[in-house]
Amino acid sequence: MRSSRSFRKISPMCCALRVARSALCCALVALLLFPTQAAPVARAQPSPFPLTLTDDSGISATFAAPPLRIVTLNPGLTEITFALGAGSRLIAVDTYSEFPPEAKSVQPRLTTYPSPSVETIVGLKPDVVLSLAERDEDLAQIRRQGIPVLKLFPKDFDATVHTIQALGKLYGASDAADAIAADMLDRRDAVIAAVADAPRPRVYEELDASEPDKPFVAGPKGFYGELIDLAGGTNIFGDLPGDVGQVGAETIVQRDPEVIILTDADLPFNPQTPEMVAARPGWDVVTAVANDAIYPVSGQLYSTPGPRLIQGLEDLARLLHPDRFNSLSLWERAGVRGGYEIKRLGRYAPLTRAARGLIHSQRERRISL
Amino acid sequence: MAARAARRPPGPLVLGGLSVLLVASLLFAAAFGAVQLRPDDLVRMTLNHLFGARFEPTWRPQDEAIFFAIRLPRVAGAAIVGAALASAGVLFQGLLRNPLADPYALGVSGGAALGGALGFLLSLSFTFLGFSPVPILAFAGALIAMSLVYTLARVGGRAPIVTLLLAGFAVSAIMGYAVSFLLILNDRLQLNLPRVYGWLLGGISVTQWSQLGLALIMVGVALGGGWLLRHSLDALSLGEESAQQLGIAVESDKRLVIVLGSILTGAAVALGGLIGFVGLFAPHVTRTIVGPRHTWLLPAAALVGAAFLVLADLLARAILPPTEVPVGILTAFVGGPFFLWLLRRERREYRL
Amino acid sequence: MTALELRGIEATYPGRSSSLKPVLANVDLQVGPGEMLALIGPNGSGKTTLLRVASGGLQPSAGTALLDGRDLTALTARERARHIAVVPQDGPIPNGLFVREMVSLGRTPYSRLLLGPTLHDRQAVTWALEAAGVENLAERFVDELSGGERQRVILARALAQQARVLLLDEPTANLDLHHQVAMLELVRGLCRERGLAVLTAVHDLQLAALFYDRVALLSAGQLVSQGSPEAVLTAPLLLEAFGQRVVLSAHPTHGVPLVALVPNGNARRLTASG
Repeated sequence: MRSSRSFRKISPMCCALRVARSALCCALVALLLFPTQAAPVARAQPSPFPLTLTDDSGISATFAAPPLRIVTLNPGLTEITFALGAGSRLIAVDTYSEFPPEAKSVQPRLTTYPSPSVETIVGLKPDVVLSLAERDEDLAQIRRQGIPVLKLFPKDFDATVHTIQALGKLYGASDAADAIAADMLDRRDAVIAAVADAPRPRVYEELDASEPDKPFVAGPKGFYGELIDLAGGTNIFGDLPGDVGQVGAETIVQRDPEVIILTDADLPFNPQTPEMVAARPGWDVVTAVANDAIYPVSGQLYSTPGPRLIQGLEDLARLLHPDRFNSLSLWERAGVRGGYEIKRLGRYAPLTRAARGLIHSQRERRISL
Repeated sequence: MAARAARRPPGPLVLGGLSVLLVASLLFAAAFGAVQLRPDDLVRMTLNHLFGARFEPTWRPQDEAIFFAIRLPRVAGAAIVGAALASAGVLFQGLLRNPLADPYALGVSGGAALGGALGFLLSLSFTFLGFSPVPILAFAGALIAMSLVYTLARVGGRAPIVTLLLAGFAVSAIMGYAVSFLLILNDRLQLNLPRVYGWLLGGISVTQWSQLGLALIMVGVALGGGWLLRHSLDALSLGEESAQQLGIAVESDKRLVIVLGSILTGAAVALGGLIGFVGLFAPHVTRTIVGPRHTWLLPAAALVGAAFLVLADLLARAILPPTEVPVGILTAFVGGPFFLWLLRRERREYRL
Repeated sequence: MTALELRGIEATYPGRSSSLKPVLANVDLQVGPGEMLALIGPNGSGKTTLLRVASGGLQPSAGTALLDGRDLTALTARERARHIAVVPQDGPIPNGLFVREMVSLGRTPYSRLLLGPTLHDRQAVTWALEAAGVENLAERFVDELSGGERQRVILARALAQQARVLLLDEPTANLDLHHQVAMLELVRGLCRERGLAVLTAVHDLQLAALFYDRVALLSAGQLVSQGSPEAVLTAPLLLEAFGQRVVLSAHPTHGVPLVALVPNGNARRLTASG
């Protein structure tokens, strides 16, 4: 099911874009049918099963048939499983898996810190265990009991798409996977195209401000950094060595971001509000503060390796370049922020279908005018 | 035996020299940081700000904000924390007659860690004079732990030194592992794991001048009180019995020292988390300069600790820009080798 | 008037089982100004405990300790320290302390809260250094001195307190022959000159005989005998108290008893000590 959302402009360009989009999708589908070196995760054989998959740590597992009993140890992997229609096959998830809402009712819920209970997992007799960050020694123990384990840790947007497709192949839901992949890549390219020639504002993305004079910030690598880049922004901390760093407030003020993204707005600890940020001593001279361009967002959208990553990208792009996405009315801008209903307990309600539909219809109306 | 009649520099001269050193460190640390600011700009900025001069700004408004609102409070905070930790170290080393004693000896490290972890966990949203829940609960945890240790060690009205030390070690260990246990029990706290451990590693965290005001008052009062107890501390170094024979009210003075030491350590923890090494190292270094008499040792150690931490904090801010290194790492790296060199130089058998 | 008087002292340590006999029972003792009294007795007889009671450091469970007629326990530690000075057997010595600084610790009972030492304080320290014969060591580190020198420095510290009662706990225990004699001569000289009341716990019976006006024999917490050296240092009393045979005769040059030990001849049999 390809989403019918698209960013259409009131110009003949929209036709050209449509053509370009279709061509791109064809190319992508073609690419998927023929395995390339850039896809270490999916090495398919002529008939889907028996299927051998090599996970991101280089270990292979062979499956005779799609697994019917699945254990996931990471919220992103849970989301992907549900998105591929295999949610009913989950026999256990980790304690943090809360999206989609059906995931919350999966029992048992496994703790993964400091390490998962190998006994419990083995006792559940799963057909496959999906892990993102567990220790290799623990996973090896599970494998020794004859249970295949796939350690999947996509590090960027493309890797996430590949992971979705690999799991789609595994679950026997390749069609669904391809559709999601195509949608994600299609919408990503649309974003890139929409912001291609726009000036790139300086963006400061905050991950945690428990100590407001030295917050944790997004670096260039990892999802946070990549999304900023794709959405047409310049990460003011593009010079950090990793994907996250702890930086002094001095440097933030000196680098003078034009937009501040608060992914710590819905943290259970020290959640930040734009008012709190504006009130930090010395920050009033920052351009973003002066222009009230401080946006609280839900961090999960920006960092969970799953199908919602594209939503995070689109929302970020909309925040950075509102003019490129059909100048939203004040109401809609409030809807984008408020629709996330940032709650202190870490739960959030994404834009409801109705609200989304409303915005879309408004946009449609605008286009027809 | 060869006569080692080394003379010691007179106390007031040492204090004067150390004060100059502290002021120089403050200026140096204020001038440098993750962000490059030109010194002549800083001078003009300061003259504008303090004395109403009217220099034309050759700097950006960000620079002024950085200097006055972000960097200066941080540097001042480092000085206060350093002074507090060093003085608490002197007090506890004198009380416990143990060269390994530091401000965290009597259960404080565990208590502060537990308080801080609870602060992270409970996600309360009050602030008091600019302090958020984590430092306030850490301060409370430190004081509670210390009074717990004293109560546990007390037998028949007296609290023997060795019992205090052992009880302190045990309480600290129990509370410290309680923090780890909390982390296992609580999902949400696990999400914040790096922040909790980062805070435990120590780092000066000052955002409001009001925090500094409160801390300065507490540290000043406790330091003054400690100085008034200088004779008791000197006498206690001869052993409790001799101290009593010299006219010291041993038990009540011990209690006072513990209270003052816990206030100093609590204030330090509230501003800077668990910064190690300063409280151990500054008293020993100062002792080699001014000797063991507390009249000079206490104020001098406070100055040494302040200057040391100001410089360590500068390194924490500026060594790997733009990353902030936890200052506890630097106090160990900078102070450690120097301390070892000092031990080798002394060559006398080390007794406190 | 007696400077120090102990009447009917009974003492025990907190936490000690009450079924055991008290450490001290019904001890009466007096020392006057210019007088030297030696406490002798076997290990565990309660000498050190008695000294603690005399300095006010241990509260007796019965009886009173009086200083110039005033109850010791009614005074604050500071007041007591101005009148009673103690020279302990040994104790921790802080690192890096000059002799002069160690002796000025003796002025602690006179220290002022805000200000530094007075001229009088400094004079007292200088006098104490001279009186104890350590003025040439004033700028040395205490922890670098020999045993004898260190003991005299501790004595100087006690003298700096300018107290009229001096308590010494086995002051000659770690000293060589020469210094044992020198130390006690020093103490006796000061006692006579300054009119100090000196109470000492002594191990060596001969030294007790030579230097002390009166001797008190303690055994198992009881005061067995008190009086001149001739009266107390008798063979039967010493055998009863120490479980050791001695023969007493007259000292060749000084008119005091000469104590001669007589080995028991039980090289192979170990006797339980009395």
